[in-house]
Amino acid sequence: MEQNEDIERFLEGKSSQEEIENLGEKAKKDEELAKLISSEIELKHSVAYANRMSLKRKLEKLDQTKVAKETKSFTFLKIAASIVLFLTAGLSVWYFTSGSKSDETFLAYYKPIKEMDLPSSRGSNDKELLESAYAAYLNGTYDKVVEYSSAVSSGPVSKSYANFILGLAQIEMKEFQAAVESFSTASETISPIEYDIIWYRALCYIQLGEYDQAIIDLNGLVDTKYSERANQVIDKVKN
Amino acid sequence: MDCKYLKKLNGDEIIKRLYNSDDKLFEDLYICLENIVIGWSIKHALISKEDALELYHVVFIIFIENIQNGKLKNLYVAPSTYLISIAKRKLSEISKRKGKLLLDDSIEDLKRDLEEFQLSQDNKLWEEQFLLFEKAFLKLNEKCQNILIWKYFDNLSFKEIALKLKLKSANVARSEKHRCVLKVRELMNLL
Repeated sequence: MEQNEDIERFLEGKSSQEEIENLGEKAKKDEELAKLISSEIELKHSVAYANRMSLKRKLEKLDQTKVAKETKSFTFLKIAASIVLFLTAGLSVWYFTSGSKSDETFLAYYKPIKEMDLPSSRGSNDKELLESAYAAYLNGTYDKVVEYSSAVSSGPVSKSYANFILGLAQIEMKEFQAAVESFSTASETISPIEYDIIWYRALCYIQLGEYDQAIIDLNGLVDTKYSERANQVIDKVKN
Repeated sequence: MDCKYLKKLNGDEIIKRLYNSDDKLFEDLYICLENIVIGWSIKHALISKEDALELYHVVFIIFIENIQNGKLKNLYVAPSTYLISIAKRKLSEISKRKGKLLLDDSIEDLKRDLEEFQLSQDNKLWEEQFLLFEKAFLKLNEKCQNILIWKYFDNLSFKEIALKLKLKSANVARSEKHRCVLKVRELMNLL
């Protein structure tokens, strides 16, 4: 009975080193006791193992559930994407065949910028980034424009150019609202391209049907290289 | 999955609920901490995603076990920090073991405990024994499974087991445990 209690104390981790040594000494002389200790230790570790395996299976099941949910979600997204694609295709057909005052005006005056003098920047690679962004814009690789322009990090003028190029790329991608936002950010800094920014933002407003905003921008272009075109657009919009 | 509520739980509450087998919290913690621990492992230990998941299993199991067997009574840091500290220790052990990740150290622990009494059973294939035991254990009824877990894993005394099962005395609990051990041995022989 006392031996059983000694074994129990050991299994519960309550034995002192001296008690463990005493139990070991007794086990050397008593084969039955040695077998009992061995059996109990084995049981202790076997139970720990079984418990771990049970937890492991539980986690694996959770992993499987998670993957299943993600797959289900992905399937749902694929269906949703198909619907969006279908609707977009339908709307695009309508968009290109219907025509409107905003489209006509925009198309009549919008021209991509084929040449641009980019600012130099000291102590950074912003010039290279702007050149890369602009080259990407000319090449039609607009995702690269987003990448390069967002990497421009130094002076406000460089950032203004970066946002301007980004806005131009967004026009090409038909993301007019995003382009307005990029041009607005670009216009926060006085730079050699400030009138270009306003001109292209005004065209975006027209495309979006926001004529009041467009007129405000166009009125700001009096006495600039855009003056004549700005007045023509204002006339068209008002009529 | 809403993980935000976990941030509002303090360490003591997490431990208390996991100790009382709160499955919902178990699952939420596992899923919500997965990306943090796996992301840390991939970034800092430069291991593959598959190995990182395996490591996460080991780490999470140790976390739960430490709560179950009373080793972890207070959690003063975020659970993710605790899990990452286990991951660091495990990774250090793995590098010592020539890259072998062991989910359980049962075999090593068993050998160490037997050596303490200068007992050895060299011819036993412990891994097979463990697998056999696990199969037999799963065939036991819930009461026996609980008794063996409480006694051999949670280190509860017979008095505590008697209280849990509303038995008359510690001796009755001891007899119950003995009966369960005989049953599991019998099942092992049948497998």
